[in-house]
Amino acid sequence: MKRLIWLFLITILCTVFWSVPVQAGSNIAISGSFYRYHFKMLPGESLITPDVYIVVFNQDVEAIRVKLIPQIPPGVTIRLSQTEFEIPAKGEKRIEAGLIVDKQAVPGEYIISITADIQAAASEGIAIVGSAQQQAKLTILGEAGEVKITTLGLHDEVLPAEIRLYQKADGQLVPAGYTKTGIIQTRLAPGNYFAQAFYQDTEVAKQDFALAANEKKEVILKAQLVFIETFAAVPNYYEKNQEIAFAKIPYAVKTFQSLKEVKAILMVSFGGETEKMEIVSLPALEVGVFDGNYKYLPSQGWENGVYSFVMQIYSEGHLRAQSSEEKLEVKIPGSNLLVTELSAGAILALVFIIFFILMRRKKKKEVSRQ
Amino acid sequence: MRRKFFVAVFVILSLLLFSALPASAATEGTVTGTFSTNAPPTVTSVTFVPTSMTPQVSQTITVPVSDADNISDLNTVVFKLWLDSDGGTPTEGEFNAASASAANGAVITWTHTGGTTSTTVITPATTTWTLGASTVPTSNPHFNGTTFTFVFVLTVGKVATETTNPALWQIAVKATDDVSQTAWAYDAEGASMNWYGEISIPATTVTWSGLPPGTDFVAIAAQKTLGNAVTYISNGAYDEKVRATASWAGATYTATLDATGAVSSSQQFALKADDTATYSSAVLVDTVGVTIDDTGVQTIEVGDSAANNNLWIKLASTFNKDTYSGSIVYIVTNGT
Repeated sequence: MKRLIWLFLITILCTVFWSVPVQAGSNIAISGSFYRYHFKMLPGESLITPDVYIVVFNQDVEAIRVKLIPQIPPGVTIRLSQTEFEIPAKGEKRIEAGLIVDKQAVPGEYIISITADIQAAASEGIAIVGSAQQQAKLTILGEAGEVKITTLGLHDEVLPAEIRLYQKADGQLVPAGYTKTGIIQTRLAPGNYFAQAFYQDTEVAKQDFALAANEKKEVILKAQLVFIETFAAVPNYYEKNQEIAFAKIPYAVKTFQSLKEVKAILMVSFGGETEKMEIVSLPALEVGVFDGNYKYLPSQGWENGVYSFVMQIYSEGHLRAQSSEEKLEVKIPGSNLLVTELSAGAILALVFIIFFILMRRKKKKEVSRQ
Repeated sequence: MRRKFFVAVFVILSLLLFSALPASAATEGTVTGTFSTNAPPTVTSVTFVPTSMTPQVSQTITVPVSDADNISDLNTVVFKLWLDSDGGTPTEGEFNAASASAANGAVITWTHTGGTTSTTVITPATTTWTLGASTVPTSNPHFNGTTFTFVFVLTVGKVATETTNPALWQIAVKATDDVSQTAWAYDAEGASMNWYGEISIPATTVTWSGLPPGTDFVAIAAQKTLGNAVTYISNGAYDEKVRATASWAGATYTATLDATGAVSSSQQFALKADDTATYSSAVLVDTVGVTIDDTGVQTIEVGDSAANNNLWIKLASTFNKDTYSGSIVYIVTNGT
């Protein structure tokens, strides 16, 4: 009996207690573009672009402290713009994620991830907490080509545009490069690419290109810096008979660079012929928006049919922008009058004939009486 | 007498006929008077710069609208953001058919209610889709001008469907004037929708007390059910994972997680987890994260509640008595 009591006491003394005081709840979320891509990179290559990011949300009613934990294979670094931060209640934090692959990294396919952990205040016990993660695929390749991409302005000068470079793979665009200087020079995995240039948040050029292993390629993005933002052909009618009086042509031209010797040409096509008229002529146009209205009336008068309108902007003799085609269908009320006139003429002729016949008959009767 | 009669008939008929003709003279352009015009509106463009959207992040869409009869001639400007499962260029038919729902679309309707007053509403209402401080006509010269640039700011709902190629979220606007003339335009690129995952765990306790050293997973006392449900909200496929901190500190001793489950050294412990109470489906927990469920699909806005999460613990045969503290982390991640 004594032995049993001693055994019981020893067991109690060796017992492990795992306890948890009440913890605060956790409510965290994650989104962003990081997960979306299958990154294909070369040893020694890095990818730092605002296109690759995560967004961490605090959906709780109290502020939380978050730590980001990357999971990566040896030789790969996920460069995060911040790794620890506080998010206020119902707030969010966007973090850009860059990828750096060392020259010694081993080619292969990997799953990489970023986990947003809530940093709970130290407490006694076993905390049950929530965490949100995004994971993506990374393939480290063995061979490469080289490309230089340059954005040029109106006078072929280097334009400090934002270039976003993507690899086209499996129907999606995977970020492959980024710059704000207007020039990217980089090594890339062989494949198909798409380069896009933005100037003041407006897309000014884009181009597809392919790159083969060991190929050196130069890509020029010629920026379009003049845009026709508004262009329309609005019919104005006579109130009395709803016949078209003139077409109002509202236009707005936006330019990102100042222009010299500016001309706006309106081209109106009808019945296979095109009428060209200069509606604006300016010695210079400053950066910004220039707008106005033009009242168009055909030199030969309106006719039934479809008129098409196109506007072109020239500077120093070079075409800088062209509008889309605007169509205006013209129907002149009573345009079937020709038929009416012919019918009326026929009736009139018939009346004349009847009248003539009757008169002849009458004359004949008078002659026969005599 | 008869002759006079015929002459009279001729003159009357002729006059009647000629009176029918003057309309043709109008083609010679001699009508005078005022112009009356009701030009249709024009939606110049729909500009949405990003190529992808993130749920719960505000998005800005810029829409210049013109009407030669002034903005006051507009009745409505309707902005739609909708899921287009086959992507491509949106059509007006697709625009007209698109409706509001938490998963598939939002509609912002600006209505000119008269004078210089208007309303702007978003549907679906009472969801996590919300309308921010948008720029709409509020006074003159907004209404008596011919062009106004609407700027709509909205926060995308939590379960707005994640897109995978070729699906896109289309963005388009239709303006209607007071004689029901319309114009519409769309953003040519559309936008993809990023995956969103949210996890919510209320204050929860898990306590193993009085465990003897050498406790195995299958011991009754080794199994614990989480006291509260874990709620997952996602707009696409998601996985549920679990991990634990590598070492749990006691007042005097430290316990170390053995992700192999062998617990062959003193002070080692191992954990198994599952979202059911079935031990045979439980997986060993590590410090990185193991998947306990990879079948999560797009949820509704209130989320999917996992109320049957279970944990099993195993202790090394040599284990010091202490009260240990550590963390068990439940993770939501994009589906693989």
